[in-house]
Amino acid sequence: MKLSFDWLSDFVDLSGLSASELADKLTMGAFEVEEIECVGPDIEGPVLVGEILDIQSHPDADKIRLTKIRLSEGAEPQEIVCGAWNIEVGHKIPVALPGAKVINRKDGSPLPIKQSKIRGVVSNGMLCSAPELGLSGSGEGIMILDPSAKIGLDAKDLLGIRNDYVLHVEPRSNRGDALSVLGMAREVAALFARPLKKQLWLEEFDAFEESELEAIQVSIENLEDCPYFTARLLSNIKIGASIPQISRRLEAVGIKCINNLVDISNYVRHELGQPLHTYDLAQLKGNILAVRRARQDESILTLDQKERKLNEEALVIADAESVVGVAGVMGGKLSEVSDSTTEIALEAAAFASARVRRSSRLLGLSSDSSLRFERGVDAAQVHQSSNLAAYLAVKHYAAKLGKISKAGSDQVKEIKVQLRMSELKRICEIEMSTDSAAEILAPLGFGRVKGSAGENAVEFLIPSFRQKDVYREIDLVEEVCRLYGYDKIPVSMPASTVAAQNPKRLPARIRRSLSGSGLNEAWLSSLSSYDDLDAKQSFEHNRDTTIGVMNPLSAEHQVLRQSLLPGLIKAAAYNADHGNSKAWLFEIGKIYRKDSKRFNKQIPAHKQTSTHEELMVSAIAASEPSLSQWSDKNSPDLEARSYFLIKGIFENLAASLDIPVQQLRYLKNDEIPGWFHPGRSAACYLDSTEAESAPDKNGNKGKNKNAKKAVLLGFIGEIHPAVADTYGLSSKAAIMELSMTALEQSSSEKLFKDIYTTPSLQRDLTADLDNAISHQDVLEAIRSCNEATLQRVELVSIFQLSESSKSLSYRMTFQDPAQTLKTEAIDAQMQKFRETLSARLGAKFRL
Amino acid sequence: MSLLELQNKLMAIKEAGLGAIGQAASSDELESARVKFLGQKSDLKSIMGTLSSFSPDQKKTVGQLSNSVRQDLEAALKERQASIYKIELAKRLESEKIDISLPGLGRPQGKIHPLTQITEEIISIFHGMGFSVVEGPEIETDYYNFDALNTPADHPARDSQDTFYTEVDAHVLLRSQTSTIQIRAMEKMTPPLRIIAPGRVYRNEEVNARKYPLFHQIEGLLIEKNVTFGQLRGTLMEFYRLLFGRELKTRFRPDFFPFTEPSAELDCQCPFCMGSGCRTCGQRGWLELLGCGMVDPNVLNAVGIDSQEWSGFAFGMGVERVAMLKYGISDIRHFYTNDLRFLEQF
Repeated sequence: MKLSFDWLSDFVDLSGLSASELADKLTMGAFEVEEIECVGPDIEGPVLVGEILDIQSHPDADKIRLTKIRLSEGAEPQEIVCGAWNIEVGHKIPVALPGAKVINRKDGSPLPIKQSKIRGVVSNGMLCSAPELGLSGSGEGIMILDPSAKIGLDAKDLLGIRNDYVLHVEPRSNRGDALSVLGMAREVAALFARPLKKQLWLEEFDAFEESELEAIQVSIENLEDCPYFTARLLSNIKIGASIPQISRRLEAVGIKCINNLVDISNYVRHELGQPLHTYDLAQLKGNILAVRRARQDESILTLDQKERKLNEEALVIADAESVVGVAGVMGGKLSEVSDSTTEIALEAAAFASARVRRSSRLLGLSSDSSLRFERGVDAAQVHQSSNLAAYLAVKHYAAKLGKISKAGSDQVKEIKVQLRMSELKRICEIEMSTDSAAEILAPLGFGRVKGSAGENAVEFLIPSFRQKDVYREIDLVEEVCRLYGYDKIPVSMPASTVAAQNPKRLPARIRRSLSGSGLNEAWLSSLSSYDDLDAKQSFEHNRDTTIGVMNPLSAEHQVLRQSLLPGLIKAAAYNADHGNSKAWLFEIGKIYRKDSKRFNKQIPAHKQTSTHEELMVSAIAASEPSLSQWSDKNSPDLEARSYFLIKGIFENLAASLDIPVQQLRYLKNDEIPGWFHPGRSAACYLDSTEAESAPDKNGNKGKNKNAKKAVLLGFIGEIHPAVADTYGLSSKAAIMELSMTALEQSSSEKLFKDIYTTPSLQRDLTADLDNAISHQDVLEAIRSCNEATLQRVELVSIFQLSESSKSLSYRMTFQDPAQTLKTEAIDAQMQKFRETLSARLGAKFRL
Repeated sequence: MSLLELQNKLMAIKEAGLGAIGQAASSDELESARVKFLGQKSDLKSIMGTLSSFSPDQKKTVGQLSNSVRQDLEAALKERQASIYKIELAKRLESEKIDISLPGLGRPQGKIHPLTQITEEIISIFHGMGFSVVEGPEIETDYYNFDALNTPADHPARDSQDTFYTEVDAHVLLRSQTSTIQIRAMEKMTPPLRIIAPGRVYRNEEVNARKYPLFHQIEGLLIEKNVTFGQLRGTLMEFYRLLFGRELKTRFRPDFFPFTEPSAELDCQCPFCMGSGCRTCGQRGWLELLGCGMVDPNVLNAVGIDSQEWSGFAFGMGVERVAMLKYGISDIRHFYTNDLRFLEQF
């Protein structure tokens, strides 16, 4: 809300206050002032009324003349050079003296006045034209003042030239009452403890006589939609420009001037907070204005030239034949006041805020008026607002006052609230007498209920305009507290009463591991486009689980994501496009899905959503990794190093979370999402022996009878080439998506195992195998021997023997905690491994 | 060989050995001297091998003499070894000089996102004041997002302009504030309680340098007996002192939130210009940091907490806003673009 300092001073005495003092106090009193704007002509210093005593031509110039000006009785006249020709001896004119600042007529820039020499003649000031004083009017020639103007007077006062300061006040959603000059005046009066001024127009208006024009009939269908409705007739209307006093103020607060009638409506709305509407009486049928709901088939052409369909949700004003306005929102085009209008009906009403809101939403139309009504208007103020508008029309534009018709009631229910001093102390630590509290609240309109003031409590009558936000004791506590000053309340710390729970450490541990592996943490939007829901961008996603937004901002933000991967892939592509192809990123973030099974009958329906949010840990490594130690130049696995890279990152992560890496299983199965290359990706399980799907040619793979249920941790692998193409990612990126819940379940307690002091022995084993046999097959075959002293099996190298066979070399470490191992025993064990491998996997051994 | 000859020979060996050791200029030369004079095939060894052919008296004399020669040679060898090692080490160190300004090897450490860092910092400060972290769902019901927070159905804050509603159901929305967690916590826990609730929130606002359709808040709630507005001020002033690591002026400006009364906005002296006015603070000298207030009795009563027995305060801050202030970031979109040129700075 824009608040004019000048306008405000109509209501409260601001003498001795600067605009910035006012702004500071308002800011600390609940109304933040965002900006102070200086408006009006930038005229300063001595600009006095002078009289021309003499005019002589300039000795050296044809176009300018020398004048002698008297500025006070009995003083020496001043010599001033002037270029205008409309002046005569005896004229009273405004004179800017050295030190004054006026406006450059040519470009509007500030023009400081100094004593100067013009063509050899000294000039002690300047005779001013209207534009030079920031006034409209004929630009040519000096401004000739009224002959009765007293010389030596300040011409700025005489001409009503003054600066105004406009405060940009942040509106408060709960304080509709403060969206007016009057409302702000109450605040200012309370903050500075100055009384509100009496409004002089009221008495003058009471003396006006109403004409004999027949009153218009008004009615309200339902008092809940509109408790009070008035229409005042005004005749002898002449549409024209507003008087400067009104137009200057409106322009200062950013309201465009249209014509004298519209300007009056805007003026009253800004001053008192009451929106008004004017109808051209000649266009109304049947001399009737009825407040009612629209009928299903009705429509209206609104002022903005749009035909709008209505229904029973909308509240309208209708004459005998049709709808002439949407109540509180916008009037109809047909009854709009025009240049030929001579009689008007002036509407002032208290429409229910919720109803105006509905109408406004229904039509997708909001206006200054509807926004104002939505915040709630004061029914008790309606009549006075109508009177002020009528007063201005009669006083300034010679309109004739007609009768006012009323429907409903402007009586507001009485609300009394008690304030205990003990409550003020309990919440805000303010100790105060009931008298002081009453004194603080009085300027805001809170009256003390007679006879209610005891020592410990006082009862207040809540004014009509504050009943929306003040109706409980705590509301009064807040009012007293903010006027008392928040900063005066003593500061302390709450006593310690509860110990804080330890925060979850897992996310931080994950961040530490992944960042240690060289990945940067990303934060991605959880709102995505439908295209990003599945890897094929094929809209094949399951509608049963997706959560779309009803009112999306854009196609990019219309559905909640179901994977973090598309966002990471996009981020990698973005970085590649910006010259950084080595984007290594991870995110810990949520995915979302609908899940009707989550509905719990024990919980009220309004407290549950039947949706599921799951925290995921995902990563992308979009660059060429370095070779692993065991990798052989002949191995086809060289091509697939993205997979092994992300697997290494995953295993580092698992180890850092105390997940037993030895028990991880990598399987190819149908659960692997489409983001992954089907041949270069794995589902990662912990303790899995049941979910086997690797080919079993020999059919002699025994299942572990003690198998625990496998926990799916997530997926790792290379990005699917088609996905990379879709997102414009040129490099072979490695990606990973893991479930935080599964990681949490799999993370084991730290438990120290004693360090063996007996020596360990190492043996190497190289097996020639069919290409179809995996490293994991070998490990499982070795483990099936159940050799207790085998501590570690490491893959040392892979060598491709032919197109169909390869050679795998392992280093095995043996150690017995109890005794020194015998060479013979280990050799026997190695023989057992070789036999098992050849029996189960057809391994051959070269010596 | 006579005893005398033998004695002479031993002395000659000693003489020659000491000479060779003394002249050895490298560890290799020293080693060959050792082999020659002290090795298995050395003259000294062979003399010591013939001892058995002497009479016991002679054996003693020769034995003592050869031992002392051996000891002398070994001592000289050890001494020479030490000095050669010193010389060779100096040479090696000299020859192994490198250009220490060449870049380091290995992949650089990944960085943690600034929003994570600031969130952890804020949480850690409040954790030290006894606040426990709780979380809540992002997909919420209008009950938790509005009704329970004293925001009735016709309140402007409920405009669909501001809140994202979902296709799941008319009452299911994306939470627009973490205050929802306050209600969920109060339903489950009994006072006294102190919680801090970080989380993602959504607002239907056009993307620009200051606004993004999702952002993050941290909400705090304290409910105890005799909690006062002065304690709220004290807690938050302490928080800002710890967050910025220095004394900055703060001010509590009255404001309005449906779920607190009295409510305030905490402004902090602009840390960039120290209050004299700059671009960051829009020439005001103050920066808006968080909203706070005493928990409205309606909110307490709605979750079954007696507002005459208990009182509390709540506060909420935008994580992005704090990060932008602390790190001097001017565009919120940087946080979600994940440009490495941004991420690597934190």
